[in-house]
Amino acid sequence: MKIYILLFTFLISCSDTFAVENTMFLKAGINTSVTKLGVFEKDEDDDDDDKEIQGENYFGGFGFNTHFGYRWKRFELTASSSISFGKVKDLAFKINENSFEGSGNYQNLMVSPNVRYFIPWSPLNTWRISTGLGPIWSQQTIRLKEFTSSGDYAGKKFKLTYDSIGFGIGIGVEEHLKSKSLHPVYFSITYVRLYSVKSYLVDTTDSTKTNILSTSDAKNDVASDTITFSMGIILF
Amino acid sequence: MVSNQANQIKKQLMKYILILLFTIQFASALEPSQIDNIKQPETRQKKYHYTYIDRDHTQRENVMHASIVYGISWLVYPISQPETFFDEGSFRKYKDNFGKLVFDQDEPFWNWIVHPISGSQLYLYYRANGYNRIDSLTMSFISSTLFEFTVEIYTEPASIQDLYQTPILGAVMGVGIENLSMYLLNTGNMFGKVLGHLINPMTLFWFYEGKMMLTPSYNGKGKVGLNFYMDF
Repeated sequence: MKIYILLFTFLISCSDTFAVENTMFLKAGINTSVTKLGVFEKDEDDDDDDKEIQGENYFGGFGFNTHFGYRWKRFELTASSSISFGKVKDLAFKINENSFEGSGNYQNLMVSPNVRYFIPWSPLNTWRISTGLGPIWSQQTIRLKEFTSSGDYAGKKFKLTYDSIGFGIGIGVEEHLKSKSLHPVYFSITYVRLYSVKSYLVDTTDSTKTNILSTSDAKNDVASDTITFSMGIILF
Repeated sequence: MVSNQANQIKKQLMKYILILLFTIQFASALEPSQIDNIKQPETRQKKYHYTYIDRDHTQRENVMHASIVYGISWLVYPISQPETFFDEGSFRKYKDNFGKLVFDQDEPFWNWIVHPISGSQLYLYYRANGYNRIDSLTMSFISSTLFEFTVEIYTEPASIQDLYQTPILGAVMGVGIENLSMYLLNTGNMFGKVLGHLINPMTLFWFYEGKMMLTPSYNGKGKVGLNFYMDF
């Protein structure tokens, strides 16, 4: 217990002055991620109605992230967004009783209000450590290129989108510079968990018009776990 | 067989073009010593210097600019997308969509190209009016939020992607355009100026506050100077 009190006192007593504080800012950078996409369906062999995981896919992606917000002395509150593009193989799932199986492109757009706390402990002189978390609203899009379908979709151009909700938690470091005009660099690792809530099947033949073919509730039909590594700079 | 012959001819032709280019290069290239002998100024003579001068704005100015952008968006939206506006829009939809927020199903062309480009021009409008970068972004955020929640709902509900990407990606893109256009405009050559104005058209308008007139001066005793002149 004494150790915890001592550690707590030590952390509180570390009162660095922060150059980039009490200011609004925009951060932007690139990210790379590894995602596990799990598809849940009712098992026909089982008697219960519970959905069980029927397939898992692992794939990598890359994209970019932006964060616009306000920073106090140790806290920052941002509206954050991250987009990730990847390729999926042998993915099988159902929308409105239409089952699909195939390979194609995956896109995950995440928007989140994020709170980040800068830990008052700087073992690395020019870097400060931070930890952040926030709820996430996401749109996951799958564009199948080669696929088989139980419905009449063969040869058509369409995409499947899942509106999902979840949370993200991360840890990062940021360069400790005098001014944001020196464009401090940041790195962070984030874990994101998402659950689908609604699914859409969208005809993409005419790119100028949005033609939604069907919509359905997709509560927990698709779940994804993502580890994202991000890096970037404070633009201004 | 025919395609093989065509490929052969193409290769031969490419070879001759390359030889011709090298010959022209050797014949016309100047030796470094010759270049030194040609007396040329280090920089081109320019009439104007282009920059951004940040200043504080009153609340009245903020409201005025937001209102101008809002008014223009009511004009530009039906003009730029007449089919969507007149075929799919209605005041009944406006009432239904009011306060709704969804993920739209638009194609990447709209979400990753059209919206960030419009956001960048919105950001550059505020920059041209003397707002600093963060204030330009904040004002763009306000303007695009007003558009999403009170204009675009005439045809479709407000979209999370547009709400975020228009001002934020617009600002990221806007910073790049701002830097590139300033560089091009200040090169002093006609091509640079045209391209600079083309990518950043806000620098052409009367409200652009960063255009400074440059007047060279000479006092007759060997001293030269450069005077800056600008209107506030």
